[in-house]
Amino acid sequence: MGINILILAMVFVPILLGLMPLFVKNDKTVNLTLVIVSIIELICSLYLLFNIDLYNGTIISLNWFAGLGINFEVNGLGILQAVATSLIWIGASVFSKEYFSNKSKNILRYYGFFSVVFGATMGIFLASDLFTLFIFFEIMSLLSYPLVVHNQDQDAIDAGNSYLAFSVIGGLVMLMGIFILYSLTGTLVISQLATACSNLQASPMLVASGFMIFVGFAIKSGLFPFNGWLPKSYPASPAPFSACLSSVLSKTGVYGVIIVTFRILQGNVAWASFVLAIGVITMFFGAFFAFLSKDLKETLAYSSMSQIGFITVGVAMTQLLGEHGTIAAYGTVLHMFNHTCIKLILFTLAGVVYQNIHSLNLNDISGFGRKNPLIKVYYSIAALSIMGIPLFSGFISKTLLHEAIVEKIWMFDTFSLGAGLMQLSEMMFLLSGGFTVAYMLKLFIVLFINKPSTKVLKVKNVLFTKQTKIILGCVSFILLAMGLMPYTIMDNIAGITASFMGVHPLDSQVNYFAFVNIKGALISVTIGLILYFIVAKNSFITKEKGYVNPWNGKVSVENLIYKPIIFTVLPNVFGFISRIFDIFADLFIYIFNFIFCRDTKIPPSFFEGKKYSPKEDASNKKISITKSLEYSLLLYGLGFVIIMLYLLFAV
Amino acid sequence: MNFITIIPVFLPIFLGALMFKLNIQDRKKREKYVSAVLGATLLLTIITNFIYFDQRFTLMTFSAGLDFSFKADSVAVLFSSIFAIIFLLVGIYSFEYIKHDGDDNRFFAFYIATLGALIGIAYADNLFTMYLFYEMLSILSFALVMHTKTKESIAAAKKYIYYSLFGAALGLIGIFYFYSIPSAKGFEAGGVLLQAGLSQESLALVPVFVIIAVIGFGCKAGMFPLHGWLPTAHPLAPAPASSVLSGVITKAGIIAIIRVVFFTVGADIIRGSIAQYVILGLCIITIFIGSMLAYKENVLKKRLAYSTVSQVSYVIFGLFILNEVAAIGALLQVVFHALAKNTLFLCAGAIIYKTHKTKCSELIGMGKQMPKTFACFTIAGLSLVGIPFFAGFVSKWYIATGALLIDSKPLSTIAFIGVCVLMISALLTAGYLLVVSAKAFFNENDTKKNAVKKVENKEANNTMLIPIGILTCAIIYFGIRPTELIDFISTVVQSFGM
Repeated sequence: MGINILILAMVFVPILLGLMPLFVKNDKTVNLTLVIVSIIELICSLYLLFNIDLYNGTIISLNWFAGLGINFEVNGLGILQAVATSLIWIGASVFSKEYFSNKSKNILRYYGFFSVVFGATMGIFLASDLFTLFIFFEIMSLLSYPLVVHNQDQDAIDAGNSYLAFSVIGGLVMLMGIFILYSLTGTLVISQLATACSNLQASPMLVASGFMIFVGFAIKSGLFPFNGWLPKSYPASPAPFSACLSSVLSKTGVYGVIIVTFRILQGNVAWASFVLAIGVITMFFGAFFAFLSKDLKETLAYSSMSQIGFITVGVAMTQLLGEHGTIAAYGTVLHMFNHTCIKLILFTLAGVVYQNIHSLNLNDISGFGRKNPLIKVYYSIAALSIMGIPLFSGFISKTLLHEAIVEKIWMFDTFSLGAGLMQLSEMMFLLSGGFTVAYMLKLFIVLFINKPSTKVLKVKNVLFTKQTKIILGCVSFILLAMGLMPYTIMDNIAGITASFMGVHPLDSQVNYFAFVNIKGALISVTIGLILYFIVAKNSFITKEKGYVNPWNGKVSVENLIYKPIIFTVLPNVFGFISRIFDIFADLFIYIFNFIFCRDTKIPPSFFEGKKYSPKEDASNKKISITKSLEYSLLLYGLGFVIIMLYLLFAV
Repeated sequence: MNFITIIPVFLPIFLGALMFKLNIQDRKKREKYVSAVLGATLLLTIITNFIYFDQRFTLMTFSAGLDFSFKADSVAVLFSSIFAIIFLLVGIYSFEYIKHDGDDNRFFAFYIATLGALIGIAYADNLFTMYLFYEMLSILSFALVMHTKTKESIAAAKKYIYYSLFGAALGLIGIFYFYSIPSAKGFEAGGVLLQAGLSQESLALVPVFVIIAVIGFGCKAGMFPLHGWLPTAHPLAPAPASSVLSGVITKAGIIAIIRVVFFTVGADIIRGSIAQYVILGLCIITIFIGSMLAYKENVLKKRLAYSTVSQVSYVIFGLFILNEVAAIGALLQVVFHALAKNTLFLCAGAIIYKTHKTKCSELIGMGKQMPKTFACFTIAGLSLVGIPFFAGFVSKWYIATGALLIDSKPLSTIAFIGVCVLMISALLTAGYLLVVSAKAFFNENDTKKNAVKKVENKEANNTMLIPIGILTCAIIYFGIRPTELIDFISTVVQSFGM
């Protein structure tokens, strides 16, 4: 009984808290409540995480909810993500207070939606079936919209439109997939899907439904080619919410991709290869565009996309390796957790930069952190971790993912197309790692080494409150601890999720600090240094012009293909067709009118004694003939004759 | 005592007609009178639904087999309750709104009488009685459409009445045919034709007449090809009138279709016949063109009218799937569409009443001036799109899962296409409703660039806001807890005898 109330409260208390701003008009109180609730949520989810064996498989139902009833269940990965979610929400809520301190427009609205999105995200990670998951996923997607457009300037509105379009389309495509899945299997319970789908693997409808559900989740996680909204929305939203978008909301998408790949299309090699391809493309292009960008938050947004690509590669590798997928699964889970913590730090720092300088352009913010060692420390921990430098947590997860690809290459005995593609994936993996190093280095040099810009010099007192410092300190500490004690912390974290990921727990320890593994990191660092100092320094980062984005959004899939098709071509074509159908009946009426009820245009003139016989107008003779009764009779007779002839000769 | 059944039918008609005689000039008195009549009708409907449930009352017999009789069976209970409740709420709303258009007595007289005709359609116990009230409804609501008496509204009302009469005439052809078959006199669950023990040959023409009758009655429900009157009549009628036209009066067509399909012919005869294919096809076309044209439309009320064309066809689509799950979804859609569309039209009315803005493009940035109205508008919009936590999602879930339950081959393909179109239509609905809300709330109206940006409060007063609020709360309540309603509707669906 206790667990029921606990889990329902974890989901619904934040959702109900979203109503608080309607009654309490003091934003400080609301913020404090939100922080307290987030801390309680963290404690609850940690409690569940440590007692996972006790509660695994307990289903909590509200069977009256929304007709079909919603069900919750604790699973390893979900609860780990719930821990991460509450952690991020504590950080983001604390930081929100600081971030909005000087421009408190619509701040209550922000807190209301922020809180509901929190509850909905918890609902996603605790859901036991796809119906429940979908309900909370939609709520999360749509109610994030007011948060994305919070600034209400032109950028935010554009980003918001893009976000809304992608969210609504994604949600509906996903719903369609769920309908098909439900009609095929008759169940939506995540833990039963694997068995229910296993005897349908050959069915193309199952693949179609899996793909549709995948699209919905892929949009949220920003996988290629569904990433159009991401580089606009992350920079346009307020920094605390950008942190949530990148750290948590994108993970809901990954969580869904895991469900599709591990439950619905389990063991489907073609599907896993497809996911791998998407992961590799996203990983590479995300890193590439992050490298080119000249905007702090845009760099971080593309970086998020790239890291989600790394995670997706891990998801695909777990499936491709099958029995031996443990390291890939561990790498996936750990990279998810790492990325969550890293992006909280980075986006919060971006927020600190923005609230002081009111710009995110790299030329304006150069040298911001030179006099602030604490920012430098936090940034370095996060950056070194995401680069995958040994002794930092990112190294462990990237090593595991890299190991998984290498192991798959070994599994091909002879050289074949598969092995070649796998080799290519490995190269892309290392290259993306190189780009990661390059863009993090670029940001480091901008923030801490370059000479302060005029805008930075104007700022006398840097706004960076104690609470935020403490939160970032805690998160950095977690990252450091994980990196330094991989065997005690990271292996155990990943072990909790092993059963959900469908792999055996690791039987022997991976030697993370073996030369083979460090070599991978070294290759990436070398590539990164070459890219930054040789390629970038000589092309688009110059002393004279500063930072220029050579790409600058010139060609985007969204503007070139999606927008014209969705907003111009399709509505006009189908609108035209629909209009024909629309006037179908009216057309009949018009024709009938034309034939039977033609209004006379001849003005009747009422001369004495001629009331009922209109005056003939000589100039208008032709018209008056065509409107006369005799003419109608003539036409009628003509038609009659034709019918008669037809009957005579044809029948 | 079962003559009570006819009181909720005739009381509003007589008291509505009496308003012409009384010609109350004092506004307060008139409001009391109207609310008393609407409240009494609601009360009597509830009493009839509970106490005289399933008791037939024959008022008179014209000739052998032509009974003028009434019965509150479970379908009638569902529909009459919706009618009476919505009419009461919209009636309260129109006390304020109708100041805008004037000539209050005439409006309320016809408004009240329309309710009587609607309840008559719901309570009618055979096709003949139903047909009489059906025609009466067309004529009474005709006066509502042309209330403003401008040239355009009279033309629109003429279009409405011609379409309605033509539709009813097609329906009448069907009724004549069904009456020609012996024993097809009253309504019976599961249809009366099969029980008559007729041979297959004599039933061969039935699907054709079902198609004719459904297209005819589908005119009221805004089904292609006779949907043309909705986008013409709705924008020109006063907001409360277009609200009931769209939310409630379209449902009269649905009752007629239910009575023909399930209570006269029987689902078993139609299942797999040409009638099912044709009507499903027409519904799919209607759903798509309605949404598409709503998306392309700029005048708000016209946009909502096209939206009705699309949304009410969900109901017919769900009914013609001919299984219980989809039928539950269809009847849920009846209730939820009535709630959502009335909310939307009343909000549109409030906007027109306060600001005289009729086009969607003029609503940018209006959310700050009328926050409550636009909040309700958004919630109703979310429900129509079918977002979880709001009522519309539940009905769409049932319709779609029901449609995908069909497993015989050619029909299942049509059902599958139908579900796809349902999704596309939901997408378009988001495009034509949510975008309006999003722009109203989040876009600043920068075109004027006033130096002093003072947000005026243009919120409508409580007489208008409270009915909107009640409807909105109902949308959220049924979105979260539809269990009791679903239980009741499944008993209704069981009476279809599928």
